[in-house]
Amino acid sequence: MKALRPLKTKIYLERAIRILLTALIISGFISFILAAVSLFTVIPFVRYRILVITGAGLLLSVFASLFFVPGAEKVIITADSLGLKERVITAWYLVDDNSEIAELQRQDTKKALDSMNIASAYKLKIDRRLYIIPACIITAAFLLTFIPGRVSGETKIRESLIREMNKTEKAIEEEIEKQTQKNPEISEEQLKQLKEALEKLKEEFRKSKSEEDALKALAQMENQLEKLKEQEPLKDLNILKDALSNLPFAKDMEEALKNMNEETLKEAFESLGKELENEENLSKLAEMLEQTAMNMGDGSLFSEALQNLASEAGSKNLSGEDLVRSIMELISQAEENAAGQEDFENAVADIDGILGEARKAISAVDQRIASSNTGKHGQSGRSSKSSGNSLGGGMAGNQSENQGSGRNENQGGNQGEAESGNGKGNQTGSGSSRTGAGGEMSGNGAGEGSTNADAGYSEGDRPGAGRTPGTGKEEEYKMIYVPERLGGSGNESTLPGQKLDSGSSTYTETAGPVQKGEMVPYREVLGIYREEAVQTMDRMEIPPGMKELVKSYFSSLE
Amino acid sequence: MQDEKSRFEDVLETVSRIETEVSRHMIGQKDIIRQVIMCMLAGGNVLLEGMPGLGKTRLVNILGKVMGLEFSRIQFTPDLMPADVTGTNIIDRKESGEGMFRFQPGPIFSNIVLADEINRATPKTQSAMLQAMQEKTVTVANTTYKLPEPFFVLATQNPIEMEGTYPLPEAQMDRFLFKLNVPSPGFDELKNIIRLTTGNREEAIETVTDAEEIIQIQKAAREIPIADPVLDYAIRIVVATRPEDGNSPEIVKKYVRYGSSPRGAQAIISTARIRALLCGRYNVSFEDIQTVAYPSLRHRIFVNFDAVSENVTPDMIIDGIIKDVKTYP
Repeated sequence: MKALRPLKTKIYLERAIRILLTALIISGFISFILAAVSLFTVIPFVRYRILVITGAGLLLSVFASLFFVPGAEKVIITADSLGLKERVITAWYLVDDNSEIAELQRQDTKKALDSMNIASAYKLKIDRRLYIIPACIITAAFLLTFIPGRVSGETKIRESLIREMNKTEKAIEEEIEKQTQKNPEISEEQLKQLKEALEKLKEEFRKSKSEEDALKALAQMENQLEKLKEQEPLKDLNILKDALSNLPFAKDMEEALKNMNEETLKEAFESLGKELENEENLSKLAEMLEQTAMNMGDGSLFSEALQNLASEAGSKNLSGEDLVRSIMELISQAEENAAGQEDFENAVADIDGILGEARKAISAVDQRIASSNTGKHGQSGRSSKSSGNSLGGGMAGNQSENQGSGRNENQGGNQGEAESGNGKGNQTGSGSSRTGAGGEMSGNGAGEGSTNADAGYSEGDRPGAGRTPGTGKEEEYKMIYVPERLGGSGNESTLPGQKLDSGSSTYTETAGPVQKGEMVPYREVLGIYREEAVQTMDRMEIPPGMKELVKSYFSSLE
Repeated sequence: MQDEKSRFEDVLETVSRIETEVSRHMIGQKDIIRQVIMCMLAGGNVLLEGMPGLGKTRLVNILGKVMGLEFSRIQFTPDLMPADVTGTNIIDRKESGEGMFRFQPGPIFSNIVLADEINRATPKTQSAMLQAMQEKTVTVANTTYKLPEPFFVLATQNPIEMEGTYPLPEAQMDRFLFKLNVPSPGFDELKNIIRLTTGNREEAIETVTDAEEIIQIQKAAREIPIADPVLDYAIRIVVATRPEDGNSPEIVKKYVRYGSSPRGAQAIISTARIRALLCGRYNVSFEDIQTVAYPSLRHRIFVNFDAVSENVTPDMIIDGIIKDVKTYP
């Protein structure tokens, strides 16, 4: 078999090439389908994806070829086919035969093998089609990506959006890194919070399909950062100290906490630990911790930790000693956070700045693509954004560009439909979009949008009739439907369009004007809902764990 | 080991000398000569079919002399009786006048029997050869006589003169290891034949071996190893001749009435071993199997009327089988 090793290598090489070419055919085929689909569906970075698919095919083929090492029998059969006239396979079958004729046969085989260069006698036989087909398919797939499809504009917008999102993620990551190096005072916990916020942003970005989604994700991160900035670890620490000082069974604690002397503090805590061996004291401490957590408020960093400690202590899962240790750690953590709070706030402000820039960049994505399309192809810059039914200037200046462009797009789309006899547009309400250079916004009624961006407001720098443009930053929230407000007056709907002879239309007469609800920012109702939930929980017997769940739900909404 | 090698080398040398000596006196027909030698060394009988005057009888004559074997010739005619072939009991009268039956051996008691124009004898006489060809024995009047070793029957028949002939029965055909179609000589060969046979110069035929050595060669040939895949291939070829076999090729299903018996496989393997030895190899190859498949199977494949009407010969069918059956399935 040693003499056959070069042949084995060559057969293996041939197999690997075949597998590779087959993998290329498969990946080429998938790429082609992807490229074809991308003409009708938004698939960002198609060329990159094709490269990735091809690369993955190559990698897989390399991996797969590891499992296709030619066996001994295959090598022997191949060797025989090169003119050895079944000498090798006979020798292989006679390997355990010690007869004289078997020995003679082996010698004859060896002689025959020595007399030829078996590896060079074996020519690689690979069908030329195996080279041509993948080359053609992959080239065709690439060429297909250059054909402007029905959604090429939208695809470009999505690609720009993804780029912007990636850029933002990277910028924030770098900023966090920079702040970590620049401000060593920032505690691990605070850094962790920043990183968590970044992870959340990344997750939301991954889910984002449109500009609105991306802006929403940015807004959420801004809110989160706002919350982080509002944290007052020093205040929390003081509240905790006060609470501990007032414990009737921990008299030494007050003095120790006042001086914050390490030794006296340790002694005080040791003494507290002993006191907590009494179950009554432990319950009292648990109650105190729960009360303290509530006093700290939802925005507090330690509120949740204290709540957890309280429930653990209350359910006797934690010994007094462990509880004391946990409180000590919490105090130490709070001190660390308090020390780095200023730097932390600065860091958050810097990240906020990045978010602001990202917002501007993401908001400008569709306009940029539209203008580049107009410039390059003379196409009308068609936005991918559908802003739903835009209704005037309830928040006038702030709705500004986004609503304006959304409205225009709808009209464009509807005009297209009108050609087929279905009428034009389905806009409701009234209001006017920004026109030309004047930029004046006017109108009335409630703004009804599907996204924060539609309904929220950007930094107001344009005069609006409905509301004075603000100079500060205003928050953006999801709009939710409030059934209690049903009955509010709405605007009449108009269906502009020209009925063609070829088309047909049906309509239903209703008894009176349609009553509709009202869309308000959910922040306005969140407090009411949360209050209602807290009251209900107080009234009813609900397990503490479930109460936590409800509280965390409302916290997550903020 | 050295002895073993020299034994096989001796075999090769002897075979080569036989082939050379026969070829010296027989112009052309190289393949036929080789195939007859292969068949004889495998211990089988040969049926030579060809037009008159192609040297069939001469070939057998020369082989007998070169191999140093006892040689007899039986000219088959319609009035030839079985006893004329096998021999008979005759009354042997002593001087005293007492008479007793004594077996008088027929011409079949010889190492090489030339059954010339075997298809001219009646089936009854042809059948007298069956036992001798298969079992190398002859039974006359309840007594079985062993034929000398080695024993070969080399029969000839003429494919065109069918009037007054009796085609050989399937059972007898099956007992021939090979059926060889003797081709007509080409121009140069014919020229040499004329020169050799029409002059006064007649070169003496040299005997290069003897019966004992032939038996040794036969034994040595049976030791040639054959790998399982090669053996399987030979068997698959034989099985493929049967139209009832599901895997047989279309040509077999369409034109074959009966396929080969197991003797076909035996013939292929035993002669393939000789061929390997003649080629200087100590193993049987697929090529050996393919080469010997034609003479081994062509008289064992019985074609149907469609084949006859469409001039499809057994060789064409074997061609189809060899193309269809893969060496490694």
